[in-house]
Amino acid sequence: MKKIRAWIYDRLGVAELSKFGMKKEVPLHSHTIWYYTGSSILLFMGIQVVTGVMLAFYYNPTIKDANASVARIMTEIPLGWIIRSIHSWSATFMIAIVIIHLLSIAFTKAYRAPREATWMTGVLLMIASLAFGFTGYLLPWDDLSLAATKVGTDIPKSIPVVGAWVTSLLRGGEDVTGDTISRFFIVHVCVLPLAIFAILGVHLFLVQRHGMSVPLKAGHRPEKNDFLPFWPNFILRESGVWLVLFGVLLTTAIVLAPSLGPAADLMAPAPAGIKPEWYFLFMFQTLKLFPSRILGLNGELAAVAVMTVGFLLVFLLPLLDNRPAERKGRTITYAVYAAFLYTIALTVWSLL
Amino acid sequence: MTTRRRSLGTGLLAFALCALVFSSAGLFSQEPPKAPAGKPAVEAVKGEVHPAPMSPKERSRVTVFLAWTWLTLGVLLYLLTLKIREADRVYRTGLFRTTEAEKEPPKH
Repeated sequence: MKKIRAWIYDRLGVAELSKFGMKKEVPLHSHTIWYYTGSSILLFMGIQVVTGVMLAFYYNPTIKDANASVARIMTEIPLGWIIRSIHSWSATFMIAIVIIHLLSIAFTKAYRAPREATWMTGVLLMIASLAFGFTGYLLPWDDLSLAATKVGTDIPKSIPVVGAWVTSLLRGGEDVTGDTISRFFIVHVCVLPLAIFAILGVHLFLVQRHGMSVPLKAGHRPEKNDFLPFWPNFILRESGVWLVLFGVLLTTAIVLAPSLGPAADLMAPAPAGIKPEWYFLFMFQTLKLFPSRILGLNGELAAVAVMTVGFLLVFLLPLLDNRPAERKGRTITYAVYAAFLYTIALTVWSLL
Repeated sequence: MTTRRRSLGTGLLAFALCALVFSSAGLFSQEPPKAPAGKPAVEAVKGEVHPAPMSPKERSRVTVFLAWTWLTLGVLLYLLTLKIREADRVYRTGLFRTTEAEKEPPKH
């Protein structure tokens, strides 16, 4: 047994990894709690992969079988309803923690030099997570998912020159059909995972390369050795957070399991009260706020332009606020607060 | 009781609890709908599909499963706190502390 362990340790370089983990230190201060959000995202991503593979064993991405196969997963396959519910809820939890993680970085100004690329890859990961949510929403192929996807894929149409082409590319034709399901399925289980793992690799490398940022006024005292070794002290604490999060996820998934609507009918009118997933609600409400014509422009186009500029500003935040770490940058803090409050307010408004 | 035996015992207890969680999970799978002869159980869905087991028997199984899961998590968290205390104690003694030359300067 000892020989096998020694062989594995030698071939995998476990000793070097362990040495690296023990040498790597996590700063201890009043904002240390935010460091746990990054690893929590990884936990939910792992759960998504495992439950997603299990669901893919039984799911059929065709117009005839999509809804029936989800119904079969929920009613016939042992524990199928729990696996589907965990998959759905862990997506929600993951996106919520991605948003919290991004906000914590924005408020503590951790995006400043030398971590600009870390922030940018993080924003790309958030966009990929949202794309996962958007493509996954159509897969159960019920009335609501069909209508929401029609609305969502209609948005690019307002863009001049390329709009119609983008919509056609997303749908795999003029309208949302069976081709859209297979297209969304392939993007959901193949294209996006490849993209997210590639970006995640770069993001994690950059986190290791530049270390963990210590915010100003965090009360960190490096001279008093206010550090925690990453291995095993920090990892053990993270494991505790993971266990609690897993328990909360499992309980939520069991108590509030999502239902499945009747199979979508392409000829039926859109049902009343169409709403996208909660993380798209603020965009949905923003679109509704714009009048049909604004300053001679198509209202929808103006809304799309405003939201695109908003996302670009978030992506380029480290370049816009490239001041030294010692500067407080109150304007940016207020702007982030304003954006956060706007998002919350419009989400709540849309829910009412 | 030696430390090794105690850790082996607690490890075995945690393993047994986890194993019981997984074995009990199979008890409450949802009962499939009864299909008339010659028809598949699930084809095109007409109405809304129940999101979770609805019969009282199935519901009570779910409750037992959840209670068992949280009990297991509680035991695992307790074991983790013991491990964290031990790791912190070892760190405070400075046995594995990196030298000042190896340590990177604090970053902002």
